[in-house]
Amino acid sequence: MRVLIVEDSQTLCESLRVGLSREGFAVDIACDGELGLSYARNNPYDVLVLDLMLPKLDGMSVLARLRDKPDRPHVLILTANDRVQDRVSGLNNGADDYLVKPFAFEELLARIHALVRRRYEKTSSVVHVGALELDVVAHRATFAGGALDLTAREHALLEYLAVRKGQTVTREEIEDHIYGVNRLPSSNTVDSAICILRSKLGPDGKDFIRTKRGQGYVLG
Amino acid sequence: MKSIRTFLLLRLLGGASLVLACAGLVVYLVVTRSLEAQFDRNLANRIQGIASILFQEQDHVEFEFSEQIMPEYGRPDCPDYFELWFKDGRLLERSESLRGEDLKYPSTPSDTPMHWAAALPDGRPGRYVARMLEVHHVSPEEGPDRPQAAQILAVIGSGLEDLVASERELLANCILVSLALIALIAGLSWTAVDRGLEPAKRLAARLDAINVRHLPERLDIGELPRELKPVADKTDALIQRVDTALKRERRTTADIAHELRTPISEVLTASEVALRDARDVDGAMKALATIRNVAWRMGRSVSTLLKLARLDMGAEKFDRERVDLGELVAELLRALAALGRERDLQVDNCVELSERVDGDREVVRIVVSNLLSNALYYSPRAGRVECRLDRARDGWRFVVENEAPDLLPADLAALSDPFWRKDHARADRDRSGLGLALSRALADKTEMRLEFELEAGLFRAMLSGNGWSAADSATASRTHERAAP
Repeated sequence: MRVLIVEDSQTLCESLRVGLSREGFAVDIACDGELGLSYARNNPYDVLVLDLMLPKLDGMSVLARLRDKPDRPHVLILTANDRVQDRVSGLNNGADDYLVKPFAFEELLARIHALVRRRYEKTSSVVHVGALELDVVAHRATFAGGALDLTAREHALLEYLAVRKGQTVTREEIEDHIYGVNRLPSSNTVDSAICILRSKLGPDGKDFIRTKRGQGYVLG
Repeated sequence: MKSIRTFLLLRLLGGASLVLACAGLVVYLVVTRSLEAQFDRNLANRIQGIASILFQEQDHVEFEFSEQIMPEYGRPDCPDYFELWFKDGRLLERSESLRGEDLKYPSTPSDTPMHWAAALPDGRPGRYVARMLEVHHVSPEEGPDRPQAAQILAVIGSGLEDLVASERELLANCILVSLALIALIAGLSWTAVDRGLEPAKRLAARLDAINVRHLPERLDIGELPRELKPVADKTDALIQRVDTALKRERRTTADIAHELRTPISEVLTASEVALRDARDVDGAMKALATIRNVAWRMGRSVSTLLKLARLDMGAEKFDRERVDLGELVAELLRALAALGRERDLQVDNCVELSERVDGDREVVRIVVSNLLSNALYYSPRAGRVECRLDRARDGWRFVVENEAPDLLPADLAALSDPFWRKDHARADRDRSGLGLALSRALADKTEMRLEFELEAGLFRAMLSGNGWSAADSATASRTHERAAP
């Protein structure tokens, strides 16, 4: 899943980038409102973590300008403003969640996961697709009863395919949601990742993740 | 004065009592004098009565006294006394009440009544009257043979019991009336003082009802007497000052909390992310470095806040010495040269070396350093910063001038508030937002003045102080001339 962090504290951005990347998220960073708006308009993010007091363009303005964007990411406001009217104003302006600094990274992570689930209309953190059971929070995956040893990115890839089970997922979509803007994969990176994932799923892996020639991949 | 009510009541009652006592005394004295005069007139009339029953026929003088006509001289208790003497000292008649004794009379009697006070023969206090009477002839013929009218000295002594009783009754009545009037005045005074203090009570009740969280703009307690209006007005002004101070305090507290949230988040997130993967030693080391840097930054802010708090409490001590401002400015600008180059600024230092001012060396350094640093940081890229000495009304002042196209005149008042920034988004994250607040507080505490001015897009920070005047006038004038375009 791809997350955009728009936050003016570079120190905080870097820590969030490291932490979320380890959890399998593709993380992009923007240190001011204008850059954040540009990233959010031009990339299909799943979640936007947005500070309110930003240089150049404040968070509320970013939120307002994203309102008419189709397939807008779910927005989590992450700010030092803790007044009730700030929360109400943020949520009324289109934010999906509001977290006040200082915060526990675990809580931020849980809220991002919740927003991802909401985006893909899932109610549980455990996704079942056929013989696959995927716990997106605990980072555990089993297939036909056997535990899978996956890297964070493989887990993210499997999660993305799982939440879109039955749908054809294009390579571009996988690139967009699993890799950040700063680390564009080479043309066969997605194919290689799918190949490795199939091998970890075992003999049924190829049937479980099917290739739609010239279009992409379908799970389940 | 512990109580206005007690004070007023005591004063009013004391004054009223004194006035009543004086008035009572005067009335008493006037009336007793009048009674005594009346008493004396009665005695004189009684002498006249005696004269009316004295008759002379030839050489013989008759006194036709009857106890039925004048019973007061025959009373068994408290009788009056009279005695009649011929001019040659022979006794004509005396009242039986004298029982053969004599009354004392003046040695030089006259034909007008003479009054005096003395004890009566029975020892009672009494009053006497004496008068020389010319006896009435009963023989009608007049001529040279007619004998000369006899001269009789009449003396009457009368007891003062009735007069004393009347005077005592008068005194008792005066005292009773005075006490009744004092009681009435006390009641009226109590009511009047109570009514008079009513606005003060309303004022107190209104003040008591004020919630410090929501201070009113005005007390709004309706019509007040003229004497209490200044109190209400001053209280309104005090409330406004307290309200402003409280709001400023709350804003500062909120700002401090707000400013600390982000660095705390930075520390928390860096540490939590590092703790989630014990195998990532490099990541952990980076997190530690981040935490250290953020902690240093927070430490600097906290130190500055503490310094501000100590300044507020007056706990800091300052020296006063001659400070070489020219050398200080040159040294600080050398330290800031990298920032000036990075921002492509033209920095003009018009303060000559050896320009001296009076002040605490460390304070002057902090304030000047902050002014220069702000000018270089906030001046538009490729702009111009100038520092110079300017002539002011009351001496010389150090001026740092730079362009500030985004600054508004309304911003000047908030410039030295803690954490105030023109850019609310905190684009200047590496600035604490406390520098000008500290500078203003330091200047205020060390008899310096830090003022700001905005004119045609040019921002001027001006520092002046006591003792920045005559001594440096020549050099300052020179620098000013040179600084002029």
